[in-house]
Amino acid sequence: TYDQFKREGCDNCESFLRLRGHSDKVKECTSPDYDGIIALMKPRANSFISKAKKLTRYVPGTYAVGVSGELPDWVEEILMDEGIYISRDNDKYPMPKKGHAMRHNF
Amino acid sequence: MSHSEDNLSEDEESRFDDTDGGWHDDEEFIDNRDELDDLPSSSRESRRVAMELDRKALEAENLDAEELAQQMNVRYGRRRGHHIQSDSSIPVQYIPDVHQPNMFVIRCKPGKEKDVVIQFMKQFKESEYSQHPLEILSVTCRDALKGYVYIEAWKLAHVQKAMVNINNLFLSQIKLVPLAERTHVLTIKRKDVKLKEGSWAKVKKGKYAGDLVQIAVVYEEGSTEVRIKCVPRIDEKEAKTMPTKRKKSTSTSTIKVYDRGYSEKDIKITNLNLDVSPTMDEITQFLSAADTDENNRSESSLGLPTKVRFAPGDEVEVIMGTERGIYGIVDRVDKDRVTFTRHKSTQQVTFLADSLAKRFNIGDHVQVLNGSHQGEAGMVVNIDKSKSQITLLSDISMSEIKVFSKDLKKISESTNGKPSGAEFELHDLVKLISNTVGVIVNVDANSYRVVELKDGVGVLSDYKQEEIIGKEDLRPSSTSLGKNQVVLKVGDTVQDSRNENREGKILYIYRKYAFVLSRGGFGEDGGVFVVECNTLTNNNTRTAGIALDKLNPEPDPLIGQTVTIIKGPYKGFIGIVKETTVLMARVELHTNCQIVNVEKTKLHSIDSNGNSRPVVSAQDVSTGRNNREYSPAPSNYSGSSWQSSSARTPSSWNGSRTPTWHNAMTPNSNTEGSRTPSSFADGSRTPAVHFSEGSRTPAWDLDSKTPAYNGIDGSRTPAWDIGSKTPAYAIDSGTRTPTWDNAFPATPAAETPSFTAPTPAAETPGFTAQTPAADTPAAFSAPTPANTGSLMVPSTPGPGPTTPASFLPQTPFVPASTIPTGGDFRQIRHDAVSSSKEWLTTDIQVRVGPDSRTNSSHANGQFDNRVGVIIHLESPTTCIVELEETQERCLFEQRFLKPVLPQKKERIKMIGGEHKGQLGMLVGVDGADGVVKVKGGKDFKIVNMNMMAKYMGAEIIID
Repeated sequence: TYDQFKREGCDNCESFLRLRGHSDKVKECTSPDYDGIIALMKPRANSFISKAKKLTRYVPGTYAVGVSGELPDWVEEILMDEGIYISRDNDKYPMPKKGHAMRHNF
Repeated sequence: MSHSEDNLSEDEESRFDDTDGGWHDDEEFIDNRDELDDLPSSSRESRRVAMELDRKALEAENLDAEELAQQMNVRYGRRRGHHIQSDSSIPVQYIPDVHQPNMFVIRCKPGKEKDVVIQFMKQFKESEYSQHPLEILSVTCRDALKGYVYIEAWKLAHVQKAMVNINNLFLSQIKLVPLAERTHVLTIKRKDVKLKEGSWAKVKKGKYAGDLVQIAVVYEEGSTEVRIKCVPRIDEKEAKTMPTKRKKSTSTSTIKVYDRGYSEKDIKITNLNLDVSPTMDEITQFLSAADTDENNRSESSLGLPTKVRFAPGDEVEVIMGTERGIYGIVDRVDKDRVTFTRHKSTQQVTFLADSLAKRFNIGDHVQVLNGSHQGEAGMVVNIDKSKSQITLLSDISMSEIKVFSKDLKKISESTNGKPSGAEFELHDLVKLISNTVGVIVNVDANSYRVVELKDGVGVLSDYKQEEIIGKEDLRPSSTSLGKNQVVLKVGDTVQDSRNENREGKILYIYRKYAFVLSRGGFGEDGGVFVVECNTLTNNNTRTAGIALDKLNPEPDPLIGQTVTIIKGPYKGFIGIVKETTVLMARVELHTNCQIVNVEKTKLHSIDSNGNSRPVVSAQDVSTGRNNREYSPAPSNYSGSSWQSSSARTPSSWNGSRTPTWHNAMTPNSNTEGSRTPSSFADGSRTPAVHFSEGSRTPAWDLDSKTPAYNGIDGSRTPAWDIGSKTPAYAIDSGTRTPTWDNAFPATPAAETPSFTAPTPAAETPGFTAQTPAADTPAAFSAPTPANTGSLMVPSTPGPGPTTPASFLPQTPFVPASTIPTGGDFRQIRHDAVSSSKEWLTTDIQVRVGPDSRTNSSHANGQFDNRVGVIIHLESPTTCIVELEETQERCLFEQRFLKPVLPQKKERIKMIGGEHKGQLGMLVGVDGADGVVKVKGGKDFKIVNMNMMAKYMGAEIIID
């Protein structure tokens, strides 16, 4: 849930985005518009899902298959610096945003 | 495009191949044409050149991409190394390979997909640091794939283990997803419909379902709601009280916002169908609902130009931007991009579909494709400035019609108003010019891609509108019988039994074929395939489409039996009966787990001693009897009518005794005896009568109601009378019939005949042999033991020999006891191994027995059932066995031997499969599989029990 996200942040991006406890930031970086969810147990295993979705470096958790929404500029910059590419597939940010938006989203 | 087109079109195509390098989309029909011999070779040559050019162009493109990537690396060099790889501008579709874990698809309760995924995650978190963490890798669900969850795991067993505590999953339906389909799981179908204020949509559900609405306000990106404008629907009651007033209603408590007569409300985007293409009249209807002045309703208020579908051959014109005004004929349509050749030039230009409109000239003869004027033809008399609205003079009504240009198509001649241009939609079943039918899988404005039923198989081909005769109207309720007489209906989820991976929803049932839309609409041919109904199995366990044979609550005792097939292509195979019908059985073969249909007559069951006997007698089957009730001991009931009427077994009879019992048993008793229901009630109240009737002591009959009785007898078969009653009795009957009928309802005694009479058995000669008395006490004594018990003793010495006990032998339990039960399976399964391949290996324990196929024994069976250890192999199929107890050493053929099944904690040796020859310890048994700790290995292996035997060698396998 949103609260969970706010309370715990996201293990993947906490180091640079610091969403934990910042409800406004969480709001900006998450989107309620997503399609499909993935429960990723072993991202590092030779899993097709995690490879295709480029989640191999992320922690186990719940991710979205695709998310649509717009990230604020500052977040995009940080992500760029972190080397996380935002895949723009028709205004969808299936990868990192999913990492942010959907992890713990339940 | 069909091959009948001349060289011109051929050349045209080659031309644009040259210019654009884009033949790829049309690969399929080019392939088709390659097969045609009548093509001029020159054009084929030119195509080859074109392809070569394409290839080069592609290579160049790839090069560019690499360069670009390099540039990116330089620019963003400070990135962490490991991310760089994934940085190419567009995420390349990751292709799964065989070295990756398997992906399984499991059906779940539709709507609960997300729930299930989260349950899995929770389960994983809980078990993470426990002794048995979940071994699955990931669980995925998609909004688009309703009712399915995808699990990645190395082994099916892992999935099964993980599934144990998950709700809403259908445990039975786990399937492997083929490599090629795995990418579908992650393919997000783009939402190519962008929300724009002023665009049109239709409401999917609720009060306004089906209504055309206009999007009024699009909230910020990511919002799930939009504000729409719709024509308010007014309750009729409400309308009466204020017939014209549509503005702010004070009568309702909820706040409604109205804008110039429209109701405005927020609605979820998911509840809107945005892919609509409203016709002019729908829009004018919408607009006419407004209270606006006539002036206000300017052309612009018609909203944004609605989505237009173009097709090659259409004449189009650019209506927006700087290029406005140029026009030409469409060559190619690639989603939103339309490429057309400019008029009077060879220049090809590409535009977004949004900026184009179909071009018509005043005087053109056109036909309306959509809307209330659909099919009407007419002449263009006016074109508005925006080029989107056209006024035409109808040929039929000679009146002016205003339509959108998108809903028009040019026709060469006057059609005399004959409406021929019926539009077809995706997944319509259409009749084709070649006198076949097909399902449309792709719609272009003028051509349709159709999966056509040709000689029993689905063929993908393109048809022009003119080549489609019309929609094939089938009754939507049409059903067919699938595999095992399963009833199939349109809309059922089915599976192709020949190809496990093909499953989907039945779109149409056409004769004996079904058009099936595969799950999610993925796959080739637009996801539609044609298959013969009789190969389909129904996955809708909940729907009414239950197998006919499942109507019988009593399972066939044959199910679960191990049988050997004695005839046909599967002769000699051994398997377990999975399902049965009257005549057929589905047998899962031990050798390869394949399920085959075999006639029951071709099956022999095998008992624990290895003796086989026919499962059913051929006669049983030929009389069409349902063998599940009586298969092994049918002799008592040679009269088939009795059985057919009592599809229920004796036990279920007993359950439903009470007055209703009479009715259920004897449907025609009412008509026959012309007695009233009240007489039944009487009958049921006086068990004494029933009972004595059942036992039929002559004394009783004579006393109380000889005439009545006779009357009934007269109406029945003589056999019954003769068998059970005194001849004198029967003679009487003829004379008294008329009087009996009248008297009958009055006397309680009269009911008793009504009871026996109706049972059809009484009418069949076969029944006499069986003595009716045997049945009746059984049926009666069970319901009311107190009554019958007390009455039985005094009244009938006769029933003694036919006590309920005599009845019991006919229950289905008899078959169960004569045919080997579940406990014997293992024993026999080994036959599967032994008969299929060489499994002999040293140091395993074996049991001597008859050859399961020929039923012959080694040395006249003197060694049968002896146990021994294989000492030495003479050949792959012969060996020397040292028998236990006597320590004799004998030469045996493999067919006379069966491996002895190891018990838990016993040492085993693999006798087949990939681990053949390995030693191990049987840790546990799980159904047909054993969990084995392989010697020297750390982990456990799950191996079919058929693949192992008890190891008797010297090697020590430490636990």
